[in-house]
Amino acid sequence: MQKSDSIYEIAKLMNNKNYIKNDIAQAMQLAADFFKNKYITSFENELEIQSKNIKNNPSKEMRFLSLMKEFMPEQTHNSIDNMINAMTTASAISSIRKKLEPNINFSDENTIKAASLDPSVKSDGVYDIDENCQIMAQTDSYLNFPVLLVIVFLLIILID
Amino acid sequence: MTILCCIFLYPTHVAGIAAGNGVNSAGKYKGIAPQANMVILKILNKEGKGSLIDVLTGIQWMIDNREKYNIRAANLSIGTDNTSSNDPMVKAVEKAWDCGIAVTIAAGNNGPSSKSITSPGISRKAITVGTSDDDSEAFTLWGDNLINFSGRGPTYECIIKPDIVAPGSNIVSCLTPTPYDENKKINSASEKSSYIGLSGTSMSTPIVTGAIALLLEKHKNLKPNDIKLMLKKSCTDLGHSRNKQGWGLINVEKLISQEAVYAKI
Repeated sequence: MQKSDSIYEIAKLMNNKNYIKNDIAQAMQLAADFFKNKYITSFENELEIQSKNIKNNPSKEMRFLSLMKEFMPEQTHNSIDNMINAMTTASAISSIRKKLEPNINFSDENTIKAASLDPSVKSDGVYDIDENCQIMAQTDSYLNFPVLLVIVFLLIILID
Repeated sequence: MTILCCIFLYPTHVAGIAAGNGVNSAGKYKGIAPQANMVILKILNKEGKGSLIDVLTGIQWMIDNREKYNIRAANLSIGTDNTSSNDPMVKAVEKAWDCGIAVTIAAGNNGPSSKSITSPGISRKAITVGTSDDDSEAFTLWGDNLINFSGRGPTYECIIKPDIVAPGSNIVSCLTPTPYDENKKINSASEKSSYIGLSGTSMSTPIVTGAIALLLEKHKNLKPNDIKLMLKKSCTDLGHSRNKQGWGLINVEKLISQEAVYAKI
């Protein structure tokens, strides 16, 4: 009797495609909720906190835009607000990234050691920079500047 | 493991230093990595001259065929007069590097003046190799008596070069005293192969390339930047200026015995 019940259940499932569709949709929703709760919500919360902080202490650019708004036609106010919001969000993301960096753990200890402690590891290769050479190069460019000024000055006199 | 050699006047000599099996000397003049496979590209003529396009074609071939022949390291004992990092040869070498090929380049024999290393040795990514023992005694190189010949850094972009030094004075490797005769298919004067000592940064470079082959044999997943970092960590400081010795003298035993380090770039 039990066997025939199972057969009945299987036949019922096979005949009704809506069951499978509904189950898949439910599973997808569960997965989406799980990811949202675990990863996105905490990020959204942090973003909101950071955005509030930035709104309380706006950057020079944001303050400038806010002040400009009063002198602009009314139809542009909405665009200016959007710009300020976009700048706030970008700054908030940037401050989250800065806070995250020191807390990210890499799995390979050697990797951390090499990347963080060895000064030869740069973003575009493994090499060292000659600091004395750089100072000399900068000094040369400063020395060249007055020479250039003199040349320009002489040229102006010649043209006159 | 395959090493690729784009080489100068004495391809046999350079290849022998990197991976010669020393069979004609009963193992006395074995190369650094005698079990390595080699792909040899002829990019210069018998006078050691060639066009830029030939060299670039050779490097492109190496990149295109790296998976087919498992090319993991390349030895370039070549140099130009150009000191600009925008030189196409620098760009080509760096493309090969980014494709996973560890490129070693000779620092050149234009020392001891500062900024005497030229393209492609000025590439910040590649491993530029100088000679460690060029100050011991003068020797003849292309007819001139030279001392302190190894090219010195920094580059015009203030990158410290060479990265590393290796012995390069009177390095004995396989070569016949007379050139190969293409018509007779033998060496014109001596049919017996022999070993000859030559000097220059072209001879120092394959020592490092051979060591890289040994390292890759042990740690197959290393990338070029990891290799360069491991070379740095295993060098012996000779006490010279950084622009003469780089990180120091290569220490093959220490290089091979150390644990893998990853640059993670």
